[in-house]
Parts: sequence; structure tokens; C-alpha cells
Amino acid sequence: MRPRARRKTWMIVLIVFLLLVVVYSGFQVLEPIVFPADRGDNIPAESRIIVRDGVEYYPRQDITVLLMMGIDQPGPAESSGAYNNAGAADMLAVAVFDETKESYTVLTINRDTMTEVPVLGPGGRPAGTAKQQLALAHTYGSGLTDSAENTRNAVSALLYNFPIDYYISVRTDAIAIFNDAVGGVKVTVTDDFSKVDDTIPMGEVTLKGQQAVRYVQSRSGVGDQLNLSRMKRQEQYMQGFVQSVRSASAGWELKAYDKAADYLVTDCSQKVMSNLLSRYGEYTFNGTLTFEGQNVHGGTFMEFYPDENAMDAIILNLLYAPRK
Amino acid sequence: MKKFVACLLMLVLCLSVAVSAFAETVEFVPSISYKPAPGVVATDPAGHEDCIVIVPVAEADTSKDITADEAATLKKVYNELSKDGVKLSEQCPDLTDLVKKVLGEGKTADDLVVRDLFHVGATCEEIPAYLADGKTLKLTLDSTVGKDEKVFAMLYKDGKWVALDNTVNNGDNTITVELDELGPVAIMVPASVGSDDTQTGENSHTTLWIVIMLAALVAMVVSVLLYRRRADAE
Repeated sequence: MRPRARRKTWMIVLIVFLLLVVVYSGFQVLEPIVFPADRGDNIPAESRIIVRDGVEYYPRQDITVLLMMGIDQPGPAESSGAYNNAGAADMLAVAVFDETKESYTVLTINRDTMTEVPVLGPGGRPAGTAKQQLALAHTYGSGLTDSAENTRNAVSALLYNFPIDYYISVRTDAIAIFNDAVGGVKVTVTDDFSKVDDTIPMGEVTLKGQQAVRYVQSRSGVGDQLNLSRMKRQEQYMQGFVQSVRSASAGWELKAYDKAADYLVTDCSQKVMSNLLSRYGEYTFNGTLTFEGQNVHGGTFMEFYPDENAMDAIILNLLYAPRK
Repeated sequence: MKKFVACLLMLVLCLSVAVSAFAETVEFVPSISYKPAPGVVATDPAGHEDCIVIVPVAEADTSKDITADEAATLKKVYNELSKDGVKLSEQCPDLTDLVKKVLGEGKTADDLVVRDLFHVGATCEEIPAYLADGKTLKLTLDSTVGKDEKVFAMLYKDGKWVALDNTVNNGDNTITVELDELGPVAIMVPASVGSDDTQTGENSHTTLWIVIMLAALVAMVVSVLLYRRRADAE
């Protein structure tokens, strides 16, 4: 073959190869846009279709799931400098926004729920699981994103590995900031708080600042001292917060986010948070759900065992839809 | 009849007061909170549980039960074990033989993951003296590993990690390790399938693919231009 013809041949080969590279890489870029991932793709095969009484249930595509965590540590969120930290997730709630019905439901989960909690070792490496209280999922990791995501994974696993779209973890001091940003939260106090905070009387009260923190956080010395009762107070507080949001001044969420930023760990930027609020802010609140079950004195600490049938019904109702 | 009703009412009143009294003295059962390091359940030789101290990495700088040198060593080994790509087979070569014995021929130390790391020290003089005599100390620690889970341990001494042969999972939320020296101890378990978790919905290399695509486009254009310039020159 003449040198010129040979050069031409090699040029064609090179152009074809580069063209294939362009096409393949273009496909990698465009595929998630043209063929967005089905929510079920991120769920293990055994949880993608759930069969109950002969009915097949599939993961719902028309919902957004947000995990909210209250961490029992004051002060700004900081790294512990180690692979574990002191911040247990004392409050756990999953908000499920239903885009078809334009409503949302909040599922509160008992922090003492006994479940297989993912363990993180040095370097943040998954190191098996431990059968323990769900709240401890946040104590693995440095106390920042790694701990919040470990908790997300633990909650997701409890909910049949259903993917959680967003999370926000809030340290105790941020509660006061958000509370006051909406002008305070009205609750009806039915338990005696005098041993904890004598500025919180019985009856209807608009909580301000640290009152809000103590109302949602305290258990020892309040009422029957059970976590279930504290959860009821937290649910009541959330409902009161929702009411206060409706009458809060415009832009309250951006100011509050700015002020509380150091006390939050979230995968939502300020913009995403604002978008979520504007998209779902007018949705009807369907109320709260919680898993029924049994509190057990586990020798030293409280343990909660959800009733499996009740838990199954709630998960299927909230997160799955029957095949028609 | 009236007396019967009066007695019944008194009984109901007593019961309701008793219930109220019971409610007021109901035991407060705490919820679990963070436990930075395993607790010492038992020692062999017996009776030294209070003398043994376990210092977690998080408390290396603040604990009074660890010297500055010991704290520095603990943090050093923690940093080494935390590095991306760290290989346990290189950190502790004799661990692989132990792993093969327990998990099978096809396995190595790299099939393990470090679950816990802490310093084991003593506040009494008896234990260091006991160990200096060439004896070993068996420590039973509380643990969150599953009852059937295989557990391994290594001790950092003389600047290197040494596999601890007689580590036992007792199956009752305790493990026992046998030490011939005090120092940093790492507890390991087999790495589980799928432990290289990727974030849900976040496993994208979009930027990389865009760079590759643009580079290929530029290379194509440049190649064509150079070829045509050479062809014109000829």
C-alpha cells in the first residue's frame, strides 16, 4: 500500500475510534437524563416487589422521602476526630410527600427500635452490623455527614431498604432557632414539666427558645418518663410547627437556615431546601404515624420492638403501591 | 348490701391510689446513649476488671488513663488504619495465616475490616508486672458483634501489629482477647458482601465523561486538520 493510502486508512481508523469514544461518553452523560433511574433500581431485588396476600406491591414513584434526625448534642456540628461520636439520634421522623394527593405524612420512629444498625470502623469503612437501638446509628462516624448517612442507611434498611431522598440532622440548639424563626410553636402541655423547666406550665403554651428544646427532648422527670410519651410530644410539636410555618413571615426559612447552618448536617443545600418548601409547603398534612410495639427493659437500657404486622402495614401504605 | 358496696368502693379507692403511687415511683429506664469503647466484663487473672482501662481513639487526647506517648501511638495507628487503600495483610502479615485457619484457604487478612480500635492500659501495677513475667492476660470485653460472627484481634507492640491467636467470640455479646502486652488493640470482622456501599443515586462520573467526550472531539478535529494540512502540502 502506498504511504499516502496507508495514512488515509489509519486516519479513518482513528476518526472512527474517536467518534465511538464521543458517542459512548455522550451516552454516559445523557443516559440518566433520558432514562432516569427507577426508584426500584436502588432497592435490593428482594424488596422491589413485595407480595402480601397474593397482591404485589411496588415502590411508589410519586413520593419524596425526607429523613429528619434530632441529635442530642448542643453546640455546632463538629467532627469528633474519630470513627465514632457522642451524638445519638434521639428523634427520628420520616416525612413522605405524596405528589399525587398533594399531601404529606410524617412517620415517627422510636429511637429505641431494636434493629440491625450498620457499624462504621476506622476510615468510615462498613464493619458489619450490630443489633441495637436505632438511635446509635448516628454514633458511628465522626458526627457529620458520615454519621447522618449511616443513620439514613439504617432507617432505610428498617423500611425494607426503601431509598430516602433527603436527610437533615439537627442538633438541639437549632431547634430553638427554627422555633423562634416561625414565631414560636403552640402546644398543649399535658405532662408536668416543673422538674425540668418551670417556665412550661400545663395547658396551651407558645414555646420559645430553649422551652422548645426541653419540650421535645426531655423524658426523665416528665410524666411516665417513657420515650413513647416523648414521641407524642414531638409529634404534637411538629404539628404545631407546621401551623406556625403557615403564618410565619416570608423568607423565614432562608433566615433560619442561615442562622442554624452550623447546627445542621444535611444533603440539602439552601436552594434545595427552599425548593422543597415551596413545592410541598402548601401540601395537606395528613398527620403522624408511628409503629406500634413493645417497650422492653433490656437489662440496662430501654428497647423497643415494633409489631411486625403493624409496621408492615404502615410501610406498604406509605411507600409502596399495589399492582392493579 | 350497703356494707358490701362500701367495702368494694374502698377497695377501688385503695387500688386507684396504689396505681397512682406506683405511677409516681415508676422506674426511669434510661435510653442507651453513646458508648465510646467496650467495657471490661472479666479478666483472667480474675479480679482486675477495675484496673484495666480501655481508651477509645476519641478520648486519646483527653483521657487521664493514657500517657502522651501512648496517646500518640494510638492516634498514629488509627490514622494508618483509616487511610484509603490500607491493606491489613501489609499492616499485620501474620494475620493472614490466622484468617486462613478460621475462614478458609482462599481468604486473607484483606478480607477483614477493622471494627474497633482502642488502647488497653492498666491503672494498677500488678497487671504490667504480671505481663512482664511472661504471662498473658485474658480480657473479656462487651461487644456488639453477632453471636456467630468470626472475630479477630491484633495488638500493636514494638512498632508493628501482631495477630492475637486466641480471640474468641463468646456468643453472648462478649469477646475474649489474650494479650501479652498492653497497648492498642484492633478488633476485626470479615468484611461483609456489598460492604463497598455506594451512595444511592450518587454514583455518577458525569464530569469525567464530559471531559473524555470533549477531549475526543478536540482530538478528532485536530487530527482531521493536521491530515488535511499535510495532504494540501503534498
